[in-house]
Amino acid sequence: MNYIGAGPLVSLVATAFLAVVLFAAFGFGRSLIGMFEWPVAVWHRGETAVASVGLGLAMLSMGIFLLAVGGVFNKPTASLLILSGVFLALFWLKRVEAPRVQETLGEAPQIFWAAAVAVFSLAWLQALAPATAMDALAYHLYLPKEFLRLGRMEFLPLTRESLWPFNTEMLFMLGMLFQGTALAQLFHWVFFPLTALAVYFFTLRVYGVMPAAWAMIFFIFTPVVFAQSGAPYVDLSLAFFVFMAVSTFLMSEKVAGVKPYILSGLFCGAAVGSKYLGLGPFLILLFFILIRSRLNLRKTSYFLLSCGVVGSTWYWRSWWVAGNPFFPFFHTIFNRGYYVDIDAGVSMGGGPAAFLLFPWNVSLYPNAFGGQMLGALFLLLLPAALPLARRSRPVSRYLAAFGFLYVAFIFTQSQHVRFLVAAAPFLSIGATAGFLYARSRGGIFKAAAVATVAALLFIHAGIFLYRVKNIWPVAAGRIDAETWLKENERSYKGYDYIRRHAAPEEKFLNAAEVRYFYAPEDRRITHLFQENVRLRAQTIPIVRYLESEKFDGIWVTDLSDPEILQFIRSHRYELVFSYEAREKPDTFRNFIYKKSS
Amino acid sequence: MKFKWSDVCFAVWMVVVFFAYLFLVVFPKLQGKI
Repeated sequence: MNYIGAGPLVSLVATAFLAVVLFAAFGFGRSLIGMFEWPVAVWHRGETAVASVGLGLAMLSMGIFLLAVGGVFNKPTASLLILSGVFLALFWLKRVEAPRVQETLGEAPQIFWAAAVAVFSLAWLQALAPATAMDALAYHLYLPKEFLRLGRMEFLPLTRESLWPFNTEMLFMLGMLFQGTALAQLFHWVFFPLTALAVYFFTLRVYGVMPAAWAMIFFIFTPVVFAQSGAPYVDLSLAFFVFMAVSTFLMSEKVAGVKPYILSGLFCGAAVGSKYLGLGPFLILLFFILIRSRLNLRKTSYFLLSCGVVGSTWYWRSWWVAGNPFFPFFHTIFNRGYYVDIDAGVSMGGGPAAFLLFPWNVSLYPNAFGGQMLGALFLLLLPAALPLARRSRPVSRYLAAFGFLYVAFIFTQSQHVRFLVAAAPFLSIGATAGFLYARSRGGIFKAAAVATVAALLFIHAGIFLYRVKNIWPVAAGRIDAETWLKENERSYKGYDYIRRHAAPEEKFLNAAEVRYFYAPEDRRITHLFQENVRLRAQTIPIVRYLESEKFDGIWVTDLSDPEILQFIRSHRYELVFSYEAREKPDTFRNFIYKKSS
Repeated sequence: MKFKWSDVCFAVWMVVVFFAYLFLVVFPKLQGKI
């Protein structure tokens, strides 16, 4: 199975299937919320729906995980799972009165909704192109594909990521089981509107309609958020669950007892089950809960318990299988795993001075932080919110403190711009405060704020259009997915050459790519970057390995290990195929050699 | 509304950040450098 496909029919089927799964997720989530009589009265109607769908998706992920670990994840069992959610959703729809759209969305001016729908649609189009994102092809999609091929979720010792928390990847696996990468990518895209709506409804309830509309717009118009929504990564699902965990925790302002803490724990569990970086927000939230509840052990225990039920499964599994709950990280503590440099090539330094300059640097020098753009809205508007700090409400202080601590956490861990996606909802609410304060002051302050914000939104809209320009031909079906991939994805041509020109018994070494997703399953390809785990552990020199394996073909780039390039030159390999792949701003030169007969 | 120097400072900050963003990010992006 190659799971590749694009075009109007693929888009239509993927979107229809997504709608069914979201409906089922609503059924699961709403049942959980309803079963415990959670205080939906405090929530806005739309917030209840968003929370239900989000919680339901997390429950669905857990269900898929259990099926996949048990080796029984297939179309019949997955259909049964989804159908049971659909029945629950139908049950709940009968019980609650049908909401009117106007009532559900609130009174925000229609121009805001029009802008939001336009950006969501562009992002949707972006998500329907065949997958090209680096980490998606290296593991977010590749590993679910491997699990489907093996018929079971297993520890793959030569991969770094097969024991990582994979809540969102379970949805990708569902997408690939029923269709392909288009549906898998839509499962990440959906967290874009979900998070935007979560920000809108929360801000609507707490601050009012205009702050809600602006906070949503600032979040939606953040370039890195838009870019992420088109790739099957997990940063947006993490952002959603983190924001929901904090917003439900803040319900404790209105609702007495343990319920907000349980709900917050459930969402926080989904966050730590999405990505190791979810552990940071978990610790920050735990700290907040201890402060707010005045060291109330009962409330804290409920938070920890519900968080553990949803999120800890992945860590138990990793500990059980590999003896390290965070495999392969923290290897010095657990004596299992190995060093992984997640900060490689990213950051402009650590320490207090670099931290003070971080907001400026990360906004204005994106190339030093992974290449994606945070935009300038936050840098521009957040300082303007500072005069409001002294008379701010506790809820605002918690939001600001969480945003600050999360950014500090990312600064200390790995300074990728995309890791700040989970901070974007908090930064957007803060930026809104600054913007509305500027407008209320009038004069030059208001003029500068309105002019620069309008210009930035306009520029970002242009960037979004530019990003999808290249995708339109394949989404519309004018170009088929394979032709498009050859032009737009750097590994595809190499794998395609091997698929077409190598005999099934020939052994190929891929010393060029960490992107494995498009590797043909019916050819014998060994991936060097996976083999390296074994070679390093057994201290086998690369030349000895190449001599013993006697590969019929070797695929390299001009950046491959010089020892391999030297081996090729001295062992009668001849160049049979070469190509250049351009992914702005870099160019990759690929060479495939075969042994001379 | 009472005049405040801080309002002027914020306005200047916004304009500075905007143009810095334009020259350091947007134009290089249009040239394919980012």
